[in-house]
Amino acid sequence: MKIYLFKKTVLNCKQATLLSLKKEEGRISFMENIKLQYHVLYCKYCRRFIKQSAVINHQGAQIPESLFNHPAHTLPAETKAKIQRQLDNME
Amino acid sequence: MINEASMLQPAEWLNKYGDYLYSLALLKVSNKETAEDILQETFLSAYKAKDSFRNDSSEKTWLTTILKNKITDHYRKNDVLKNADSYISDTEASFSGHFFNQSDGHWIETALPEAWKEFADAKINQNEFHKIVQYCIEKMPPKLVPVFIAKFLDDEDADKICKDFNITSSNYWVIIHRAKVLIRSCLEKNWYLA
Repeated sequence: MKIYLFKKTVLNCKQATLLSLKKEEGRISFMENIKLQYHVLYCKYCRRFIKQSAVINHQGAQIPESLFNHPAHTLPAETKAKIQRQLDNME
Repeated sequence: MINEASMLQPAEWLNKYGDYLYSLALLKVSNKETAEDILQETFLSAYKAKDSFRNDSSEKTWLTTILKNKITDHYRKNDVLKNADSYISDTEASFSGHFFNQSDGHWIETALPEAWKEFADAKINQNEFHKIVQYCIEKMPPKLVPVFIAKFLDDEDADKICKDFNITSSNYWVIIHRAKVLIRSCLEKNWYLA
C-alpha cells in the first residue's frame, strides 16, 4: 500500500515536462514544484529538456528583432505596390 | 505644438517594415497569400488608427502589435481551436506514442532528449535558427500553432491566450506541452545541436 501511494505521487517524464513548462510561466504550485525537483534529481533527460526549453525560449524571443535586421523574406513587389497604392489613396 | 501622430511616417512604412512584417507573418501563418492579406490589413488598419498612436511605443512596436492582433483574429476567424477537447483526446495516444511510454509515461528510447552542444549565444546563427523554426512550425499540427506562437514569439500571457482562443487552462497546458516537446525534438533532428 505504501509503495502504491508513493508511486502515485512520483512524477513520470510526461508529467514532469508539463510541470516544467508551468514553472517557466510561474504557474506551478508548491507541491508540484517539490515533485518536479524530486523527479529531475534522478532524471537527466528531463533535466536536459528543461535546459533546452529555456534555450529555445531565449532564442525564440530574439526572432522578431533578428527578422527586422535581416528579413528572411521579401514582400512580393506586386503586393507591396498594391498596398502602397491603397495607402496613398487614403491620404 | 508637436503633433504626436507626426512621429509616424506612413509613406515610409512599406520600405522600412514591409519585409520585416511579411517575414514575421509568414512565420506565424506559414502561407504566403494569407501573410500578404494580413500585411495589407495591418497597414490599412494602422493608417486608419494613426491618430491613436502615442509616442510611448515606437512605430515599429506599434505596427508589430497590430500585426500580432491581425494574426490572432485570423486564427479565431478560422476557428482553429474549435473542438479543442475532442482534438486533444483523439490525438493523445498518437502524440504520447511518439515520445512517452504508454504504461509508465517515461521517455521512450527513441525520444530521449540528447545532450546539446554547449554554445554561447553569439555562436547561434539566428538566420539558421529562424529557418529551422519556420520548418518546425510548418510541420506542427495546425491546432497547436496559434497558441504556440502566441507564447513563443509574442510571449503573450497564458490567461489572455486562453481567452483569445476560448480554450480551458488545462487545454492550454496540453497544447504548450505538446508543441514544446515537438519543437524541441524537431530542432534536435534538424539543427546541428546534438
